Amino acid sequence: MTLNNSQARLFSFVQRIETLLEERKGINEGISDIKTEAKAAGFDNKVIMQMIRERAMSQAEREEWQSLCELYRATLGMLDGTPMSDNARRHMSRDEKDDRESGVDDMFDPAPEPEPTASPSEARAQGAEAFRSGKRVTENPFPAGDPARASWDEGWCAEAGSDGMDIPPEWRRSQKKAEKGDEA
Amino acid sequence: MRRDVNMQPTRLQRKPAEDPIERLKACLGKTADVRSPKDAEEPILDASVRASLFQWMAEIRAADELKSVGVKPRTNALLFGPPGCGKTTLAHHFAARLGLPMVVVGSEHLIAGILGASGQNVAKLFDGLAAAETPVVLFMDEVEAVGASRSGRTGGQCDDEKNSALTVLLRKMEEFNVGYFMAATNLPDGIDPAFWRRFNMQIGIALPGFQERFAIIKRYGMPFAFDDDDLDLLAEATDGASPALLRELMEGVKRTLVVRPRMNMPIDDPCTIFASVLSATMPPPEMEVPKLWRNAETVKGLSAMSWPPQRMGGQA
Repeated sequence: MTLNNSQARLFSFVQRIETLLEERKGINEGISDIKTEAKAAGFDNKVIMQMIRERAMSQAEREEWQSLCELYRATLGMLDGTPMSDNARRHMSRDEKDDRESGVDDMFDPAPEPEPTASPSEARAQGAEAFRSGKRVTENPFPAGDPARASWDEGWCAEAGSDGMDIPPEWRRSQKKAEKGDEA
Repeated sequence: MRRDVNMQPTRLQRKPAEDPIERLKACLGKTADVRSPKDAEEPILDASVRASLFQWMAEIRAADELKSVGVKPRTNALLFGPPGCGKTTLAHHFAARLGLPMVVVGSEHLIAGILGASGQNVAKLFDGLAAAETPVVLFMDEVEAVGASRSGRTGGQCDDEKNSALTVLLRKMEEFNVGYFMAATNLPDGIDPAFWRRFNMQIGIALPGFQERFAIIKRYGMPFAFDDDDLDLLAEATDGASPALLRELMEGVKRTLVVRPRMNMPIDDPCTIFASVLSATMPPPEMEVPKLWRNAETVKGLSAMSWPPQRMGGQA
C-alpha cells in the first residue's frame, strides 16, 4: 500500500504513541511488582510513594510542603502535642488580612534579624581594618543600601590605595623583578 | 485524646522568603539563574575598565549628592568584547561590591519555539524581578540573541517574533527600576542601534595584557608553583589569548601532570606536556591565534622552563 505524505505522518504519530503506551504498561507492571515485593518485606507502600514524591522535590519545595502540612495540622488541632518546626512558623506573617491583634508578637512572628549598622566613620575604620586583616573587598558585612556599606568599601579602598580590583597578591609575581609591560 | 493547641492560626498563606535570593528564585522560577554576592570571584581587568566600574560604583554611592545637581547615577551598561574575557566575572564583582544578588539570564531563558513566547518570557522575567521586591544586578549574557539589529532581517515570521521580543525588552528595560542592568555581547556590530542607545554606558572588555595574563596563568596554575621566569615566558607566548583560553590551557597542564604518571608516561619535558594540551585546546575561530598555538618554535622555547613544577605544600 502506498501512503501519501499526510497518511504516513499520521501512521507515524499513532505508532509512536502506541509504542510508548506499550512501554508505559510494562513499566507500570514493573512498579507493581516492586510494590508487591516491598509489601512482602513489611514496608508500607503508601509511605514509600509519599517518600518518592518528596524526593522528587527540591529542598526548598520539600521544606515548603512540610511546613504547610504542619500548619494545616496545627489549624485542625492535629499536631498531637508535637512542636511546630521553625519553617512552619516562618510561613506565617502579618499583613492587612491578619485578624490577630497587631503589635503583639506571638509564635508566628520570627524575631527580626539585627541589622549591622554603623556611623560612616566607624564603617570606614572597619573597612580599613578588614583590608589590614586580609579580608576581600566583597566581604562587606553591611547590607545592600545601607550607607555604612559604601563607607566600609571606601575605607577598604583607601587603606589598600586601590579601587578594590587589584590583582590579588598571591597571583602577582613573587620575586622582585623589573616591570615588564606589554611592549616587552 | 488530642491536646488543644493554644494558637491563633488564621491565615495559611505563603509568606515570601526572607532571604532575597530565595525570594528571587521563587519569583523567577526557570526564567533566570540567581547568584549570591558571596560567590563572586576576583576580576582581572585592565585599567580603563576598572576606572569605568569604579566611577559607576562611586556614582551609585553618591546618589543623593547627584540628585542635588539634577542627575541620577547611571543604571545600565553594555559590556562587549571577545568571548571568555571576564564579562560575567566583572558583572558579578559589581553586584558583590553593592551587596546585591546577580540574576543571570541567557538566551535559553528567553527564546522560545512558540510564536509570542519569547516576548512573554522577557515580560515574565521583568515582572518576576518586580514581584521579588529586592534590588538586583540583572545580567543578560549573549544579548545579541534578542538584541540583534532589526535592519538585516528578511521579514519572515521568525524575524517578526524576534522583533516583538526586542520591542518588549526595550520597553521593559525603560521600566526596570529595581537595580542595575548589564548586558554582554561578543558581537557589538550586530546589536540593534535602538537597543545600544538605551544603555548609559558601553564598556569594551579587551583581551588581557601581559601583567593580567601573568596573573591568570599563575592563578589557574595553582596549586603548582611556577617560577616567575616561567610565567613570564608563558605570558609572552600567550599574547592574544582570552582569560578563558588561558584557564583551559593551565587546567589542561594540571590534568596532564596528574594523569600522565598514572598512565606510566613521563612528565619531565614541558614541551611534550604543553604540546599535548595545545593539540586539544584552540581559541574560538573568530579570534586571532596566539603565538603559542600557531608557532611550534614557541612551544620548543618552553624547554627553558624549570620542570616539573612543584606543588605548593611540598608535594611533587
